[in-house]
Amino acid sequence: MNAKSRTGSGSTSSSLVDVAAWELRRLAASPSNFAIVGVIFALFAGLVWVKHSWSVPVETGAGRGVVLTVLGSTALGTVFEVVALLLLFFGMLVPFVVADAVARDHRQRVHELLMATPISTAAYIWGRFLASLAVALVLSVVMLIAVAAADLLIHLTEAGFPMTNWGGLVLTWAVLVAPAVVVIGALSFMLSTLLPRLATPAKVAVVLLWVMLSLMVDIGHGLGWFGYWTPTGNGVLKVLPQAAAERYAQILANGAADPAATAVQVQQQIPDLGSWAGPHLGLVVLGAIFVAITMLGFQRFKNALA
Amino acid sequence: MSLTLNSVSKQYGDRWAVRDVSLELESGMVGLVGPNGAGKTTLMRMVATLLPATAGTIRWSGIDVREEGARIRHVLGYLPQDFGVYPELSARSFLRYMAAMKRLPEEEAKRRVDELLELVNLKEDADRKLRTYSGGMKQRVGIAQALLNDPELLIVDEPTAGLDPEERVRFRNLLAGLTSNRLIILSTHIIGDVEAVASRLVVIKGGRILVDTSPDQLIAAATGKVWSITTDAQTAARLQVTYPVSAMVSHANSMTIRVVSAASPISSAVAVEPTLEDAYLLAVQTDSAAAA
Repeated sequence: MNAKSRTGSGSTSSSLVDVAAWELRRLAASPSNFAIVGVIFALFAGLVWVKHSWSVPVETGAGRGVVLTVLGSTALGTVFEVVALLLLFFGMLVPFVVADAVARDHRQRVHELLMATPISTAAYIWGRFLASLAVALVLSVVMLIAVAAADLLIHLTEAGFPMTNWGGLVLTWAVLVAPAVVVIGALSFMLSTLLPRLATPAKVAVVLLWVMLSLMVDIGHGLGWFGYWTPTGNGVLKVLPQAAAERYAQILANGAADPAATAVQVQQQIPDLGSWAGPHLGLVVLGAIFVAITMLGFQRFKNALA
Repeated sequence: MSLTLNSVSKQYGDRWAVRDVSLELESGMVGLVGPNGAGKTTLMRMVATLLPATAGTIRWSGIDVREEGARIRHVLGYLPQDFGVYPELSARSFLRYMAAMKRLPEEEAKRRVDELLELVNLKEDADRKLRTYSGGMKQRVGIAQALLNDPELLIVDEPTAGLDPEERVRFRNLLAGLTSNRLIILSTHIIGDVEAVASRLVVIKGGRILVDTSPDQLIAAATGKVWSITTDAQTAARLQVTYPVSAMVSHANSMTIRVVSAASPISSAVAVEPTLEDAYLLAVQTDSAAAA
């Protein structure tokens, strides 16, 4: 094998899939990562165990109102539970899972070894991001499984508490949780990768941003475009209970025999998240843009004295 | 297979770390020696495609490393001065990881990793986590990863720093066995590391090349300029201030010192055969004297 033949092609640079797959194998080699999965399961199951129903007073027009008790395991309740309670905490975890996918190499002094390999910058950046994003998404699924497990226990111990509505849970994950993970993960990944020495402050900044976004709807700034675009998904808390309560009030007005059963029946209808699907797809695109910026701004070397 | 550096310079702010370095290197082992801060690591990083030169060009077999770094990295093996490993991985897994980054096919990677674990004498410990390895063992993992792609250009930067004497000898012997059909650049400030293995010696200081020669020629140039002096402690201390001293041995009532100087420092000085370390000291010291 002569020099010309071995250096002859730039097209054999490490593929993105190789980078991502080996990064996942590396993460799997650490038992502490599996312990984190257990902690996350316990944390979110515990949260659901503590708080799994909400009394939501809703105006239904002409000064009349009803109080709708939202049960966390119904189709509406899963959306409510995930957005109002769990996603705030999960969003705070995401930067710590995704941000260091490249910055860690600087800390562990492996960066120079990797940059001297034929791995391309694009494969390295995208591969590392996708591997860490996959981990974050798996953890978000663990969160949902924890929700279902806690719901099952509550179902067995509390009368009138239904089994988990999987349709509502999966819909919530697809429309609200996954896009939030992508955009928050990508933002923290971008900041930590481009500013590896400031990786920790970058993560803290993203967490603060997340908490601030979570509060913005709750403190009464109204819905508007923000309610659909905020990655926290908090806008659904303003819209969905209102719609369910109006249906509930109408059924009651028509002489429903069992108000409690009617309330559950109303909540078990799969909520319409169509208005959030488009904006949240936009958030996924925004996440991809963050990673593309990272790729363009990434320097294989530090042009300074060691 | 040749590495050509043409008037290569590197500037950080107002400071020139490397200044106007030109070299033509072919297969074999080249020792790049110089004091700490001489510019060795900066020069190695530029050759390894990790730093752009401020001026000048570096070519490997005619290919510009700045413009086509990705092509060079296919034939490059690089062991940096200060590197880390993934502590959660075993040596075998870490090498497989690096082999994947170097685009080795799966089967070839497995075979090559087994060969290299044997070569660096880590076969027995290959499946232990790297967090349990000593500094010397990690250094051997480092050289193994550099050799994964059977590189034509192997750059090792201060590889023996922090190793105990036994590990240093083992590492030196390991490098000596790798010289056929490749260019190895061994950068070090420990002259003993290159003495037995390098066929060519480049001495660098202040970012400039002082000497580019063979070890034998460097020693020959120092013949008649190394002196052994047995004297009292006070005189020895005075001579140490005036001349470079390469060795000093205390006796009950006297001291024997080894002085590097073009002329006899005192009448009782006895000319002795120079070692490579003496010759290196003379080269570096002559430059300092000229600069003064």
